[in-house]
Amino acid sequence: MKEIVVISGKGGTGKTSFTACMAALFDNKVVADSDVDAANLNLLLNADVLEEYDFVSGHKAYINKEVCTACNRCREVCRYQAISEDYQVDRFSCEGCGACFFLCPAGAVSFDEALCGHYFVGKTRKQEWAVFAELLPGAENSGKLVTAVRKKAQEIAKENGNEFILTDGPPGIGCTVISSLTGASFIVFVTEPTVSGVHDLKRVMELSRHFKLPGGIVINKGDLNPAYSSEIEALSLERGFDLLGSILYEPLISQAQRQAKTILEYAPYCEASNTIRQIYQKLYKRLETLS
Amino acid sequence: MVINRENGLFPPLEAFLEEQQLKILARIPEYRKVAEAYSGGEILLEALPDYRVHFSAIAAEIFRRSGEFGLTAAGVLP
Repeated sequence: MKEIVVISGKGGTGKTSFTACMAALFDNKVVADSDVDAANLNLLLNADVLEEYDFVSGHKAYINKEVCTACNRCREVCRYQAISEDYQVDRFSCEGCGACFFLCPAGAVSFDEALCGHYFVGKTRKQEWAVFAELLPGAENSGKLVTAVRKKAQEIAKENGNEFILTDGPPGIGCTVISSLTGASFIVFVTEPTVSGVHDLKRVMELSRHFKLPGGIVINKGDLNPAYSSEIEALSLERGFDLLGSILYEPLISQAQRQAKTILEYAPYCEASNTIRQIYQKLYKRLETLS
Repeated sequence: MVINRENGLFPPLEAFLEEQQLKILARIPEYRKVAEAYSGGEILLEALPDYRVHFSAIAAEIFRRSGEFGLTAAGVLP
């Protein structure tokens, strides 16, 4: 089983649109969305949700008013001023340190794992499995939610003997990206020839080096700026990543997005769609060379 | 609210903004030249001075509302 993770460094380069296109072209796979802070791959895949799981992580204090003696000890020890005068814990201020729980003389504080989000298993129109998640607003530990999503996808792929897992990764170089790359087989970098696109690509490549994974680069909006396109090509050589292809700036892609469609569905014969199919061929062949 | 890369009205967005009663400060049209200017790290208004109309509308509204905090629009409005 081979897991392909699509990342970019910079947000908005077209990761999700690209992943949705690959989802249309690859067979025998599970699709996963590990951009849990803004999971929207399923807006394009439209999978029917069949299973839902709670994601609990970290702890939050809760004060049982029936037991509380209003001694004020918890408010004294709370470093985050999360407890109000009437002994309500504010769930956004509470950092889950447990000081109130350990020090309450009346034992009125419970300290359960906090619900931070949900993850879902669904079936796409192609009758393939998709796993995606939703982090609750302001919730923490999104990296662990990524791990939960990927574990579920791996479980399903193993069970069904699927050849691939196709993962739409998060932007940036933080915790969720690290969680997305751990144990993957191949990275696809989707970038754009802009000053920020190249800057952020270099940063995420630095991070990727740690994982020693093979990878390839897709340039999106490739004709916007020839100088930066050349820089990306040079980077691919220098860092040993394949150049998988360059998709031209195509206004039809945002038209397709507006209708929640991939460009392959919306304009199957436009130049961008042709390039995307070529990228798929190249990627598929490259994956065959991996053990 | 600022709507970026607008290319014709998008009814679901219009409905949501209406429901939330959010004022739209500007609608910035989608245009390849904007993306090109951005790609080289240019400031949009230096590359495409015509876009000033959108941004002065945003600035005017921000300054109108921040008047109550003792700020003025001096030197900012066209």
